[in-house]
Amino acid sequence: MIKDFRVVLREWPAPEAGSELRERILMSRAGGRRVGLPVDRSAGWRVRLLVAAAAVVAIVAIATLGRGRANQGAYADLLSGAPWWPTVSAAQEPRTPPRAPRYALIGDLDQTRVAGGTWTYEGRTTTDGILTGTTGQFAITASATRLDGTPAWLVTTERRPIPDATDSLFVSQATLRPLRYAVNSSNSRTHIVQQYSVDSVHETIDVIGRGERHLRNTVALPGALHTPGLVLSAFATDLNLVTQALPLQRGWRGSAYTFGLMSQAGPIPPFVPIDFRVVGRDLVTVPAGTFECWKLEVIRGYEGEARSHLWVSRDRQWIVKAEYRGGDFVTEQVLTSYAGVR
Amino acid sequence: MATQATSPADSESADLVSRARLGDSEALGALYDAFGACLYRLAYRLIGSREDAEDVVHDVFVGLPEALGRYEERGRLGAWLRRVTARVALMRLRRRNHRREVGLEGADAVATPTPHDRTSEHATLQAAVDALPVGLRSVLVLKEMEAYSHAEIAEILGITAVTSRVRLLRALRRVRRELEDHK
Repeated sequence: MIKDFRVVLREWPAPEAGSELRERILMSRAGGRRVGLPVDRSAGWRVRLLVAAAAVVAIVAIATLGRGRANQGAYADLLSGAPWWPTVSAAQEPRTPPRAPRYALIGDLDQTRVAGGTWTYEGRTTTDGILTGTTGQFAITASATRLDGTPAWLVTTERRPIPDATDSLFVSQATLRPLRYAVNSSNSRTHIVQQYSVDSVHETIDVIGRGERHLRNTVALPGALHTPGLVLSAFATDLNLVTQALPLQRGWRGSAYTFGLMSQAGPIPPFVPIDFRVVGRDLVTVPAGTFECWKLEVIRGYEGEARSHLWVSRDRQWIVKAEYRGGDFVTEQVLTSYAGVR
Repeated sequence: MATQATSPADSESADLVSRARLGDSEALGALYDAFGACLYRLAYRLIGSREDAEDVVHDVFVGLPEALGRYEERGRLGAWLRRVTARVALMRLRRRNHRREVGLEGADAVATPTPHDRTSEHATLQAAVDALPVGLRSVLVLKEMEAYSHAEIAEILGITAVTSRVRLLRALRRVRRELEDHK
């Protein structure tokens, strides 16, 4: 046996690149070929927004930006506080079109069940049985309000790992579809607004200072008009409202869409289906208490079929726990407290 | 600390970066001359295939003029390029694994004999490294072959330094076990 294989590894040889590679690169450029490369973390706040969005979607519900062991790094650490960027899975490679929803689009919501409040979660990642990261606490607050005369829920988040942005999401009380989402970086350099109509979204992104840019885009929304949409850019925190209105029962299943950023070229398409299915019942104990829960399988229809699970309390249908299991790690988000603010 | 590429002086780098941002092919070629070999080696070690490593480096440089628009020149260009290359390589590896393609063990290891292939022990070592899951292999390669610190690996892979350490221990344990099994 090799006595010290680590020494051998350090001296492991690598071949030289082919002599024609340089020419091939320059010819590709000259021929008009372009490649989107992974965004470095230093690219700034806009990137961190996407990071956070992807991360919290994973926290709250999904954790299925990709699949397989290759993405363990991303998933394992989405909940571990920092760094937030799921480097591999969310790199800026050419987009792959998402698949179609698996189930019928959700249409039978009971909006009268929805209550506001503040839900506080805590996340942690365990790798190979060892606690490898915690996110601290993450609070979602939903309160009843009106937006341009329309009854709405105002959803805000308090996320200690990403304190450099404030956001507000207005969700229609009637349809649980988004009405307006706005986010500002604390340094006032980045301002994003998504204004939703019945069937489209108009997005403005303004970045001032270094890398100044002003993006405008209007895009038609996919899916049926009565189907709730989850605003990925808003960390999908509206899911906590949607789950309250779902007609959960044994065997229930349904699909919806997540809405991301429309103008920002990136790996995550603007619209991705998300599929829910009740797979069982569990008694779950978290810091907020012990809850009898529906267990939901959640699959996000983009680049993979990795499944995460949600435990939703049977009485109020709050998200009590979210979990993603990889090959050698588990990420989970548990409810630590709730305060009603209706 | 990771091994550094032989890079142009800072002022020269800044000039090359400025010109490459504008799509100047001469500047892009100069950047390739400065960093291409280092980046290719990194890509090869991560991905384990000559062709794929060339494709990775090709994509990095073809995408570089636009990507440089997001390079803030706070750190060394070489280090930034290595991070980008590692990410592109890992993306490709992930896609390849999804397609269940044959990796290093099935292709280049045979096609590209190295001094280490001459003994069965080294072949076993190579097979053991190749058989590691991507998450473990990437940490092992970056730490043991490329001499990155755990903090640097954490940044490249988007994981924490603690996770990097855990993965390295697990990778080393698996490789050691494989080698012992083949004694």
